[in-house]
Amino acid sequence: MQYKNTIAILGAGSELGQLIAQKIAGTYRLLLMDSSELQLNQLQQFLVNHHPNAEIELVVCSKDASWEGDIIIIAADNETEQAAIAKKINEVTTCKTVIQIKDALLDMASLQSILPYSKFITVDWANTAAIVEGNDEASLSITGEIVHLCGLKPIFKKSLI
Amino acid sequence: MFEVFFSQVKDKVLLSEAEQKLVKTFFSPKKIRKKQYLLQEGNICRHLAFVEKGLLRSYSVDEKGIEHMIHFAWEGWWMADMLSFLSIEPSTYHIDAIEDAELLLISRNDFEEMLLKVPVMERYFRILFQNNIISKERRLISSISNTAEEKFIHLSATNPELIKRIPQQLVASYLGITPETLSRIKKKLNQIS
Repeated sequence: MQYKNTIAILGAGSELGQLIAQKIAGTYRLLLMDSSELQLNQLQQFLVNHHPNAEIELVVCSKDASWEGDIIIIAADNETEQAAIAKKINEVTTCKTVIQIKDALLDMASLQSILPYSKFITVDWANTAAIVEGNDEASLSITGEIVHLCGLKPIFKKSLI
Repeated sequence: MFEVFFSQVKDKVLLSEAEQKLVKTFFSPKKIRKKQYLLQEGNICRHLAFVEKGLLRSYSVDEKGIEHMIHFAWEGWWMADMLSFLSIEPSTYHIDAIEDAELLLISRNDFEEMLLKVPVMERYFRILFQNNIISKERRLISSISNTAEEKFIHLSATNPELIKRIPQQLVASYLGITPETLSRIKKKLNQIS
């Protein structure tokens, strides 16, 4: 039996958060968190309808979601919200894969300095491909899988940080 | 988040503030819910788990689907399939939570790095491994030479917390006896006392 990783998507109500949740719901156990309860409930309804066997939980606190998750995706659509989430989850993400989703069209700051002890990965998300950048081999690999499940081609870039 | 861990470490070795801070960077905090798996048979055990809160069990399942309890771990205890962790071979055990649990996980690479950077932790783990060998030897001797009643009396004396906290059918499995036999033994001992 293969162990099923739990992925926490923080900012799951954003456009990219919803897309990622929809694409990976059948493969991973998901913990969804967003400041908008309405968007979160709509997303959950959609996922339940389209992936009846998916394991999905709504979590109100980003720290709790990250504490429980094996992998954390920060998908909020603006950098102020992303930075606020990163500060809240710092304590519980040591040695965990944290994936920051950045819209390739926006110039969003990296959260690496806020999460110095995580296995930090950034994904610059474009229409057909995504640049996946980080240091940890296993984290790069699993991020590549997630990007691939979302229908994009992952382009790996070893981080110089 | 590290309260039980450092309290347990400090019972065995001395750690400076700086060493504590460094040690924290090697552990990944993880919450799991009741009945959720930490490890499933066939997967490689990639982490040692320290229990800050809650209760875990490791067990194997035979071809008839019967579970055989190997080990329990609650606050202040470690849990892993050491054979799989050290040999990097697929585990023959399952590990899951009997109660919601808060854990600190450390991977093999981080474990090695921590021992290099904080040598006092090597002494801590040497003490743990010594205790573990002693406990396993005792359990082996008990399982091959004691009657069911003697096994239960020995377990009650050496590990009363286990008897109090673990459901009776799991204790019976841990002792290698049926729940009915365990129930009879407990009744008999209660009558004597």
